[in-house]
Amino acid sequence: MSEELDDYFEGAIGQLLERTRHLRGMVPRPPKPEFRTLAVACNDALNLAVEKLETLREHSTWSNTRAQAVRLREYRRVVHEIDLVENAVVAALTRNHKDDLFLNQLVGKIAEDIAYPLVPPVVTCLSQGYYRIYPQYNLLCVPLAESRFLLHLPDLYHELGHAVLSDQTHPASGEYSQALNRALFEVQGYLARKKQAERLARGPASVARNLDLWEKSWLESWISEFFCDLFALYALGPAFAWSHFHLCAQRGHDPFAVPPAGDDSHPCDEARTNVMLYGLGILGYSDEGAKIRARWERLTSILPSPHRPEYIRCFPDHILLRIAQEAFDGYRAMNCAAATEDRPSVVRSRFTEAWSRFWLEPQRYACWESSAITELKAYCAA
Amino acid sequence: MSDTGLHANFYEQVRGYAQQLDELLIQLSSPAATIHSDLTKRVELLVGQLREPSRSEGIALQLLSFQARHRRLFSEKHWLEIAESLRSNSISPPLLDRLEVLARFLEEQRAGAVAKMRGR
Repeated sequence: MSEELDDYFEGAIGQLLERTRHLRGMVPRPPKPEFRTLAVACNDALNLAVEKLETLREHSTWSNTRAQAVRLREYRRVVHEIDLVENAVVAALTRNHKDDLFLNQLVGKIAEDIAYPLVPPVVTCLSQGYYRIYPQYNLLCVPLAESRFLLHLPDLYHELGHAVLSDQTHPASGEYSQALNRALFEVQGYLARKKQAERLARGPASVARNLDLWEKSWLESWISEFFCDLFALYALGPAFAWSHFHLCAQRGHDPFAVPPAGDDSHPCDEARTNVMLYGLGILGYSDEGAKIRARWERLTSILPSPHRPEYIRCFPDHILLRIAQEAFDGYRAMNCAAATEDRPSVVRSRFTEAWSRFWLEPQRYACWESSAITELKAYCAA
Repeated sequence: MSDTGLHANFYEQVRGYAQQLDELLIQLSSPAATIHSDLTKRVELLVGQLREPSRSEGIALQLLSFQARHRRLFSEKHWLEIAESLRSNSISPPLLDRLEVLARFLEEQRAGAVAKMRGR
């Protein structure tokens, strides 16, 4: 049995080693300045993959049955790492496009504006699934044509929030993670009380199952998503909330659906909107918040939802408010600059103006945006 | 707003725990190998954190612990026996079997995170 697997690993690992050699050869030399940190991370990752593959190929290490199970697990881990480097990192490095240059400059300006505590990520327009960040490579991917339009670019700030939450050891970004933990503790306390009440009431088993589902979703994704939304909101202001409205109008589902009826990977859109509205109040943008709420309620009234009662149990207002407050305290503890009126920023002004123009003269917006993005590119390049 | 960023952090941490545990399993399974007490201590700490994470633990550990409890991975007695065996360096086939169960659980969580990062 062991020999049959040895033959497989001999052939498969040999081929993988060849693949990593090929990928190393694809990395441009020298890389563009904006992509240098990514190139270093890529080379380090591929070197580590080669080391692990060489170890996996050494048959004497894996001679007993238990070791064979470990070998297979490690092999799969290395395969995934190489996949990621190939499909995200090398792909970004080999792409040579001015749109990427602009977005890297833009993220650099954003980082300066908000006193971002970490090294800004490298940006590429190679996402096939909306905005995504690979924190382990500090690589942010956006859709292909994104650099030419303003309304979704505020989502860059949300992805910066993910990078912040990924680095818990940094003294500044660690503050934001601690704030998240405090908020999570409140959520867990609320759910524990609900579960206790259900046990005493001896209600249907489905209610207890839903509470368990919600607890898992909070841990797995919801609390992080709220904190990333709030990072973006506190950094940029109302433009982020408008951008979220736009995202929901374009790609949303039932805004009140919670698991098991709804998606468990993100909080439902009603909850995200409400958290942002609380955040706008904390920032001092209550008037703008009221406008967003009015538009949101108009949007959600078009398709009535049967899930409102469960939504209210899953996302009570006092929990959402607490999350908004803890996130603000955490944001401030990082010494990041909040989107207040007394701190001018060309980038923030441009994103804010985009939404003002959109609502004021929607029929002329596309034309205005075309010249606005040209000006923004010139500003970032200066 | 991506699933990638959301799950990447969890993926990295679970991968780290899985690698540590697999490294220990290799050492414990090989009669000639030297058992590094530092690695044993790290795995013993992980076992304790999975059995009962403290409030200050990161989300990844809390989620792993939740999943392990939900799956009834081990009874309370078995969790404590694993930790005690590691602490006292009492290596036995039942201990290795339980560590293998834990290793497979971590691998399953890692693979799940990969699927979610890919939007599946």
